[in-house]
Amino acid sequence: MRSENKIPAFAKWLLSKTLPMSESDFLLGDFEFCFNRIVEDKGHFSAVLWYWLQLFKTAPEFIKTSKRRGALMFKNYIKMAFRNMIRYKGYTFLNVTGLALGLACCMLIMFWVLDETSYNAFHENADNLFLVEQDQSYSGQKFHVNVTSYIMGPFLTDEIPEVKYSTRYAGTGTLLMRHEEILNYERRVRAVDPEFLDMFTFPLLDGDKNTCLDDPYSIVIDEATAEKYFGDTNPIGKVFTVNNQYSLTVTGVLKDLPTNSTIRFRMLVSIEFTKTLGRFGDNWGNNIFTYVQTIPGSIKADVNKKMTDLVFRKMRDRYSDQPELLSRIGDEPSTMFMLDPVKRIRLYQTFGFSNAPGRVQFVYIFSIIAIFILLIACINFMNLSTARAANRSKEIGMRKVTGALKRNLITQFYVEAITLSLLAMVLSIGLIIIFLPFFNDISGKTFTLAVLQNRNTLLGMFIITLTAGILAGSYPALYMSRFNPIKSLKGSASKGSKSSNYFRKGLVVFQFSLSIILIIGTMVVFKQLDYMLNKYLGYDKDAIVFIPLRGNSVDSYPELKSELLQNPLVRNVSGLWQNISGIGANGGGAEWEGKDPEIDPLIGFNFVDYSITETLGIEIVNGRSFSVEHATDAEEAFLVNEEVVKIMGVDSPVDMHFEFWGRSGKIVGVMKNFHYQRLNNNIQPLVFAVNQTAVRNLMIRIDPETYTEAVEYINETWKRVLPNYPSQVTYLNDNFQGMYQGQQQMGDLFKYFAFLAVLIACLGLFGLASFASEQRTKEFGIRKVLGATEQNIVYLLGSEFVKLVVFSNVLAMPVAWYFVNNWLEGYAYRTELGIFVFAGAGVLSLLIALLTVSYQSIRAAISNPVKSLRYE
Amino acid sequence: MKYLTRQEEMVLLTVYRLKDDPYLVNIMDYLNESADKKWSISSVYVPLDRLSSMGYLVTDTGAPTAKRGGKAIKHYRLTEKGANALTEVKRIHETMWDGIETIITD
Repeated sequence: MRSENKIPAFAKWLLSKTLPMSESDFLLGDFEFCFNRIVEDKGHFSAVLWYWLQLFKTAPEFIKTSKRRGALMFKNYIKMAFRNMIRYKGYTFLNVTGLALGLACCMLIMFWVLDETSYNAFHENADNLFLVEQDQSYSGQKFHVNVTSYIMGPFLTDEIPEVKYSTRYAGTGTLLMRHEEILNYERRVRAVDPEFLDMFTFPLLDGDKNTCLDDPYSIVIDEATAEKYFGDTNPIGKVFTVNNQYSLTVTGVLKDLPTNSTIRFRMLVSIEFTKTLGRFGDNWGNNIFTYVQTIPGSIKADVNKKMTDLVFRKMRDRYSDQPELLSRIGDEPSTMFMLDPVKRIRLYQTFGFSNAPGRVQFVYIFSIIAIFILLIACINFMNLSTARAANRSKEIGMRKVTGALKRNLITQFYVEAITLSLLAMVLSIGLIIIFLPFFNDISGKTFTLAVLQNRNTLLGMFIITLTAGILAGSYPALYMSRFNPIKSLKGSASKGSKSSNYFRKGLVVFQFSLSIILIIGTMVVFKQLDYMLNKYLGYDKDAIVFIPLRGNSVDSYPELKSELLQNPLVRNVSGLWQNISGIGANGGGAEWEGKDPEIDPLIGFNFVDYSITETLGIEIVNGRSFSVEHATDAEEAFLVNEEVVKIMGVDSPVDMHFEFWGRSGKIVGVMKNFHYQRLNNNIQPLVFAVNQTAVRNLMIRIDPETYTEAVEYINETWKRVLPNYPSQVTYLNDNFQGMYQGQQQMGDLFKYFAFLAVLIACLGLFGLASFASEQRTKEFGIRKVLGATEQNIVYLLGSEFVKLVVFSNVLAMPVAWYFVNNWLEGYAYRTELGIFVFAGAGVLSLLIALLTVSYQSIRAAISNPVKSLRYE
Repeated sequence: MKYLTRQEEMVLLTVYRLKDDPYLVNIMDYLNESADKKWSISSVYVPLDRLSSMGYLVTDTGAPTAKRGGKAIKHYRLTEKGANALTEVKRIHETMWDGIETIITD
């Protein structure tokens, strides 16, 4: 029997429990028979649906007619539960909806958390796969780096026995790829060793795993790319023209990558191709990833030490004829290599000096939020159930009088609570189905309805629902079963004791506090985001557009520059190796007059064209910028930023001798500090040097007022000079949007969850308010007769709840402040935590509470006192 | 004597009709074809069970088959008591309807 045609085991188990014992065998067989019929007829999914439907239709009937001992009272409880639900439709609706929202929310977050924790786990060898990382040491400080050098990989396999395979994983830069008419810049091409496909589980749909990457001019593409370029035809054997220079033949087609992989690519080429592209670095410079697969049972610490020693030895060997470098390398390894399990990369990877937590902090935060929201929903549940207790005191009295034990009453109320929560679970499944696409949008994941069919998911949901039901039902169960039968039959136990009132109010306060914390969190995240996107970075980013130069287009830089400068719309043109929005290259080994030989600071570096500071609007605070008029600027000049000056410890470094990045010369000027990395980090020292052939980003300064015409001119010029390369004019500002995508997502998620939390809290408040106004109808009636105005009534009812909200604010503020402050400390450059945020949240919460309560207050205020006094 | 409900009457008649092979799913299918009301497994099973306990039907347990997940199959048969109940119901029905062609309401 094929596994797809199996009956859902969970449903089957439930069914077997509800059927009469003696018949269950036959009947299950009948159900299975019909199930199989439907599978043939309408497919597996419809059959599963039918099976569940049968469960819901069948179970009540069987329970009704069952003669099992104990089933009898149970049936009565269920009957009562349904009757009560229908009788108080409003409350039931509020209750069920609130809980359903909380459950749905909790489940969605759980999906997200499960997905995040499952990254890279799908590889068969996942437990033995590692990324090689290193801790470099600069002036005693540890700098963690995830990249390694091109030459490292093969050494590892050759010389360390525990390493079974290794592969390099390198970027190729953006490649211009063409097949017949279709032309695209492709950024997701990666170069790997042939072992890559053995180590990692990326199955090939077509092609031979063992040979497809042997030839340096072969390429393996994924399904989506195959479709993009070749439609339905078989891509094997077809040829791509790359950068108008090279021809690559397709030797394999890969299945599209699953989303929970940190290794993301669309096409693979051989690592040898990077040599052709001129990217291969035959030295110990670190700029690619190296993955290894170890023999099972290897001890990580051993491998780490072996790697560290190996690199150290090799470096000493290589530079054995250069005593200065040798002395810098030292006698002991200062760079420690280590293996990072691929399964940990997604959540725990760090970079740089800081020990800022990785994505795992998001997992914690959202898990906490999920629990928050569920708590709020459960509290609602409890509150609303207890609030209705008063109306049922007579029933409880009757039951006690006719022989019900406290135990029975507790059971009854638990049954009611659990029935309600089960109903909520069904509703929440519906909500999840409806909101899944929306959730996918804001979380950036791709969940399908398949997550709901997973047995573990359903079981998890069921357990959470039951827990919520029991938790929420326990308070009313234990509270209401205590009613004194005599008092309740007389009708005097309806108000409820003082302590229970306080408890209920306490719950509302707690709910609102949680919601307020979420609101504040949201506001702060967005404020920080806004700050980061709009902060003045030290240069005129709003006036810059840029074009990345790839492949042969690099050679056209001088021509492009002179052509573009001819139009007055273009204010200035310059270029850099790495874009100003993200300069990542850095290194040690800088030398200057009077440098302390003990320190080796990590300094950032970039090659630039002469006019870069003028083009970008970077301020020079000392000395001068680069200039064509000084012939030595081409090889022997450096521009440094203020951080470098601090490290050097001098007043003015201008004209001082300086050596860095293989060049030797003088510092000609000092740039005012500007941000060239994400605002999480403090500004690091940075050095510029001139090299026009290294320019990979063409920077164009325009006037924002005339930008459309300017961009048009730029596009035309580009097409004229480089007709084979599509133009990619981009606003510098757009680069920044992408940089903070993670925070943007987090902010969005926060926003929606805060909204949900507030919604659920309001549902609770609304329920309580209606209950309170109902209880006090007589009181209001009397007050009105004695002369109270409508405002008085509104004030009376409203003020009680407003006080609660104010108290919630008082509780929430310090807690929120603590968390938010902590989070902001992860950012070197942060927005202020002004009063405005907190005051705003407070006012917002008050307004929301007032709105919620107003309906009831106004209704109570305008009601006819005659009617309310007649009410008995 | 207790009256047979409509449901029970239909079920009994179906058992009789499907002389050779009356088991639950068969009965359910036949009823779904001929009658309006949609019959589910439980809405057939419950009357069958009740009728057996009242003595109008007896059951025969057949051999297990793989198609049904290895479970045995139950066949139902009309008893004499059941046959009597059916004919009684028919008689009452005809008596009540005797002479009335169509119902006219004012």
